[in-house]
Amino acid sequence: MQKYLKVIFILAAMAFIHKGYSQLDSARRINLSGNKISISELTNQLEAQTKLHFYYNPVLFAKEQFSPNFNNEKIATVFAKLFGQQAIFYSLDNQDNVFLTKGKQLNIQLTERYFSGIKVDQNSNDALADYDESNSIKEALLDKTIYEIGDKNTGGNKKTIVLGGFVKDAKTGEPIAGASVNIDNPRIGVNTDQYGGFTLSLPRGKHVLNIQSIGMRDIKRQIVLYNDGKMNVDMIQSIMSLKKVVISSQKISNVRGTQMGVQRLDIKTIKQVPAIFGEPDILRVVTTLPGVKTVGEASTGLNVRGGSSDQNLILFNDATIYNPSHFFGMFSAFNPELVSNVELYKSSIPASYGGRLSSVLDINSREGNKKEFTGSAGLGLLTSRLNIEGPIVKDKSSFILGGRTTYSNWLFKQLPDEYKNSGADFYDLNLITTHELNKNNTLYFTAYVSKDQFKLNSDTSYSYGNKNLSVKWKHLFTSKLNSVFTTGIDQYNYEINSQKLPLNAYKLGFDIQQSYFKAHFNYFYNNKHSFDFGVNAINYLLHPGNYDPAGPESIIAKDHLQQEQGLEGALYFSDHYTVTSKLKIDAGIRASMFNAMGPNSFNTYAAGSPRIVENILSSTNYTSGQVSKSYGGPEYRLGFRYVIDETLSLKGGINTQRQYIHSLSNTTAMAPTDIWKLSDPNIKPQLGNQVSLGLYKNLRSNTIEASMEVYYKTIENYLDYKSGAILVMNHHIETDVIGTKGKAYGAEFLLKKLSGKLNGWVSYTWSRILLQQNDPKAGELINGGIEYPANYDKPNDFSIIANYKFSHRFSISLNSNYSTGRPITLPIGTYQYDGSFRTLYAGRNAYRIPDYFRTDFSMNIEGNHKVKQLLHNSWSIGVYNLTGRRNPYSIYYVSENGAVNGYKLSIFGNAIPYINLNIRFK
Amino acid sequence: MKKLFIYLTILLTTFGCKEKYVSPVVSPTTGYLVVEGMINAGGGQTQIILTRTSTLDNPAIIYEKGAKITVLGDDNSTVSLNESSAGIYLSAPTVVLNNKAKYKIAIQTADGKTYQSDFSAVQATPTIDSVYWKRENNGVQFYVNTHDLANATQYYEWDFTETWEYHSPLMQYFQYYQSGTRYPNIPYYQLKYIDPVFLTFNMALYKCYTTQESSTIILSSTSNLTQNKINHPLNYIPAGSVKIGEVYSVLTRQYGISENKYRYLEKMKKNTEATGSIFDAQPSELVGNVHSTTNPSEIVIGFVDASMVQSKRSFIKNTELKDWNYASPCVISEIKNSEDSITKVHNTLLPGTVAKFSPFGGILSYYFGTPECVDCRILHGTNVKPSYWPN
Repeated sequence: MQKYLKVIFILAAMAFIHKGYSQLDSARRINLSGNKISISELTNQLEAQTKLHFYYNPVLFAKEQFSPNFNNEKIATVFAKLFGQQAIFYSLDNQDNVFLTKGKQLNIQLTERYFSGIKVDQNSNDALADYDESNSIKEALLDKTIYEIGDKNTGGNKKTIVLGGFVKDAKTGEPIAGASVNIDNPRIGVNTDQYGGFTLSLPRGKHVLNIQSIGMRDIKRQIVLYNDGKMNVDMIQSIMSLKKVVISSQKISNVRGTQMGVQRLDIKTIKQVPAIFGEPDILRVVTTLPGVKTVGEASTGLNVRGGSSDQNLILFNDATIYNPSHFFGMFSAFNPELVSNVELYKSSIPASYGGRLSSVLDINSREGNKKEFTGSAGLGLLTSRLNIEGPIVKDKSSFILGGRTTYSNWLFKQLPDEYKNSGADFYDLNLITTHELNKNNTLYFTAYVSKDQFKLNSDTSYSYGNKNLSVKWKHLFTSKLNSVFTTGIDQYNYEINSQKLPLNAYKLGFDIQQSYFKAHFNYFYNNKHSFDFGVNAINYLLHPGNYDPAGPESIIAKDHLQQEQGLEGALYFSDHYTVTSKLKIDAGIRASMFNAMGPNSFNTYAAGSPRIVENILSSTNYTSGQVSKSYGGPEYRLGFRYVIDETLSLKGGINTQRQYIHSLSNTTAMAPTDIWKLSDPNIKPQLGNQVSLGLYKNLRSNTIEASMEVYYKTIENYLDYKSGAILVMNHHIETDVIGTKGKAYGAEFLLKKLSGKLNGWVSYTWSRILLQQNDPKAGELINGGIEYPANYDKPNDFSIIANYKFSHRFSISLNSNYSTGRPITLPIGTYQYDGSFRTLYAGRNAYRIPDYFRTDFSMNIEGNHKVKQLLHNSWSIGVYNLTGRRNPYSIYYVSENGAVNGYKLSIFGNAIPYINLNIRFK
Repeated sequence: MKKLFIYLTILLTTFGCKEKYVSPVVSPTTGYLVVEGMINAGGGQTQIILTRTSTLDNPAIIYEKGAKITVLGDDNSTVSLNESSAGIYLSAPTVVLNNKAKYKIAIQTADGKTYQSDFSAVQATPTIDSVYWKRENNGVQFYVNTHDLANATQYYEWDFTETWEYHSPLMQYFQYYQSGTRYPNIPYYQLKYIDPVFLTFNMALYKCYTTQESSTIILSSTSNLTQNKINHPLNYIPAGSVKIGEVYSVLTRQYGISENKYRYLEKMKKNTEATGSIFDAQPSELVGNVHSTTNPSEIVIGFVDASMVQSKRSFIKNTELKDWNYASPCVISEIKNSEDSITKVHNTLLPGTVAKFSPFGGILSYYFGTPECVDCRILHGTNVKPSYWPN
């Protein structure tokens, strides 16, 4: 192997050297003299006399000085004398480019570090990566090269060989997630993970490896496998080809993957969807997927398959985001420029995730450009953003820094006089760095801060914010065993300040802080088995309410609710088992456990009687760190896939989940002031069980993905509130909430076309979520103990997202959504009390608001497509709620001046146009 | 918190909109008993009002007549109430109750059903320290101050009665009289002074007094304060309101209430006054302290406890306010003093004051307007001056 490699290397090098020298020979002779001139003066003079172009790192060469004295000398002599003395390496390519380097010689020919790992020639491995070479030359070269992995003679005679590696963007060095890596015969393939990594187990011998990803040129690599090894592949963006680009249609992941109920959205897709005020919104696009609903337009809270909005684990690079919204829920808290992709797991949730019942929304950021500094900016009517990225150490580490802010005050000027002194603003900041320490170790660092504040007439102000910090270390033990270790801190807090009455001026604060550690291992045992296992630990610390006087005159009594502390731990193990080429099973178990810990005290209630203040028997104190209550148990994650034929498969799964932290809310929408509560001796964890079955079919040579899933789900200890519950500053919150039983079921249909001029998806969901509280011992019966629909029970939900590309510079998008109106509680009568007619309520959620329908439209106009210009501009112009339909958000009755009046409130009751400018710069 | 939500609603409705809504759902006939009032333990009269719930599409006060109401003490004392007018039941004007005892009411309706409230301890009410006002957003905001050194009362409720003086924009100096008849038999009219001797205007149509009861639930508590001291906003009068066009008076009544009644009224307020925002708390069912003894599952609305009332009257004169800018909606026009023109309008428009005199003292033209512009009694209450009114 080594010998063989050396031969290739030398031959290739000779070809270059030969060509290079012939050019040098034919070039003119040089006349050059100077005393202590800088590198730039030197190269300028040389470029003036020859056809050569010089490339070097000005930082490294800043201190170099040259004193040339040549008269009619050959270039080769000049170079040898000039650079040889100062230990400067020079390399020439066949286009008269000269690359000056220090320490190592730049290897012009080997454009990829492809043979890494086992038995690799050290020379080739140490060569620096390529500079800027014409893609066509590179591709042609790489396509025809035969890559040998392992040594033919010493590689042993294993029948199956493990090939691992990473797929990256050749231009930016970012990993490409979700790319398909496969061979045709026999048909074996995988998709890359979020780090662009893949592991394949292939038969010994010769293969053609196909690598495909949306928006990238398809790549083929000819490989000959002798022993386990690694291969890294760089992909090239298929930008701006004015020729027709055919994106390959072997999108087999829909049919072939074992996971069901997983939706992956690419940021490019998200950006095409029209958005309020033109700010691309990840969460809103997620709500167009089947099985995902939202209470209304002012809410970014998601309801996945009958789950409440606190049953979603929202992860941004592994950090839990407790409040994913800005500006009263009009925008989501994620900067679209920094997001690479979003994955939503709603039925077969991998065993590595836990702690929430309904779904996991995993948002992965991009990695910064490892090759050059670039940036982008966006200007909209309400928000603007700026992002900068670039290498820290070229090709090794990179950063990406992004920020968004709002200038909404013009909006407030439109309000009546009483509100003119009000204001609202928000910002979010992200810093993500990636450091490739070496081939086997990569470090990721993510920092996220968001803050929202708004004030009313300068006497009451509200603020809330997320702060997250995480460090992730990806380590490859062998090509079969890799691991990811993550640790971090997540924080969420809100504060209300009221100064209106000096006597009653107060400050109310809530905060939650969690620190966590995760270790995840992936072991590729053989072609049949691949294991995932690991451990998670989260330490929670909550201050559920701190109520303090503000100002010297205030007589507000300081009242701090006792802190809550808890430790959640989990161990998990899962096996991806390929039983036959048709049947694959994902079997996992997650043992989770939660300890509520002191210092605090809990009330004891008389057994078998409702939890009301009158039934408090005593309270028990717990010292710091003392466990007041432990909960735990196994969670099962089982999924299978059976391939019926090449384009059709059947998938099924059973999932159980436990949730130990709950948000308490008696508002319909997710409010910024909702509080979170840990399980404790009086609040049991929520349990969820789900069974689902799906049919997946690819149509039209895999350009259209169709799927149908049905599910049935039960939820235990789902927290609903009692009538008139007080959830803020409540010292015995368990008396105001009630554990109900929930059941949800539905069918979801999705038709997706992600390539071609016309792309997009159509989804339809039919589903129900019903709750029930029929245990008189638990407290008041809701609706007399019969089942009632949850707030977000919308049986019919239909969405279309359609994009049509007229040209590479102009496309239009249409987004349309219809759903059944959500349930509300309407008054059944009126009565006179305290000088006014008042409404009489009975029966929770017995009526529905009228159905919802909305259509949005947008046009995306790209500037010109010259690759080398400094600024790339694009415009998006659109209209939100094109038909101007006044979709009711709520219907309510209010007593005003003695009479009862009914109102229908629409949030975006008109067509709202927007315009947004996006700039990318280098 | 609530305010925030109302405010967000206003913000969002700049894009959206709020429309009147009439429910297509036919509301069922409920007819539940509504019991409003308190047992007056301050030595005064106890008043209980009985009504029935009405349908949503047709709100009406349906008084419950012919019931028997008795106040029962746990010291075996009884006080009976008599129906003074339909649905309104009163005790004797002064009844002294035992402040150490607990009281409840028992109701027997005309159809024979019986109801009882839970026993309630007598809740003391401290006196009102002051009721004051200040300008806010150009309007006037009233505040109440009170304190309870004994800390016997931690939960307060207020209501108030507003009374204001109103002056007709057009003083009536003249009246019409039939001056004759023209062919075939058409009466003709002319103008004459109401008071031909002193040439003054009709005072009875000029000054009126409007009285209005509060219609919101006002509550506050000292349970989360270090001192039993209250400073709480009461009524707000928006800038330019007719209420302070001349003189305004408000009688504020303060009640110390039990914690349970406070919670009950707080829920009622949330359900009926504090709805309609983006982050709505869901409306909830109300359970008061009056129960049917005939059918325990019957819904009864109301919370009756034993309390006392403290009151305070305050005044504001328009002259105390800068730039109040009350503008009457009246349209006042000038008309020629001629038989022809007067005959045309005498049926619909009332005469006011002189617009132009002739050089010889005759009336060339006068101002006139709709009856509401001249006769304050039509829209602005009574012309009987209340006894407490300042001169």
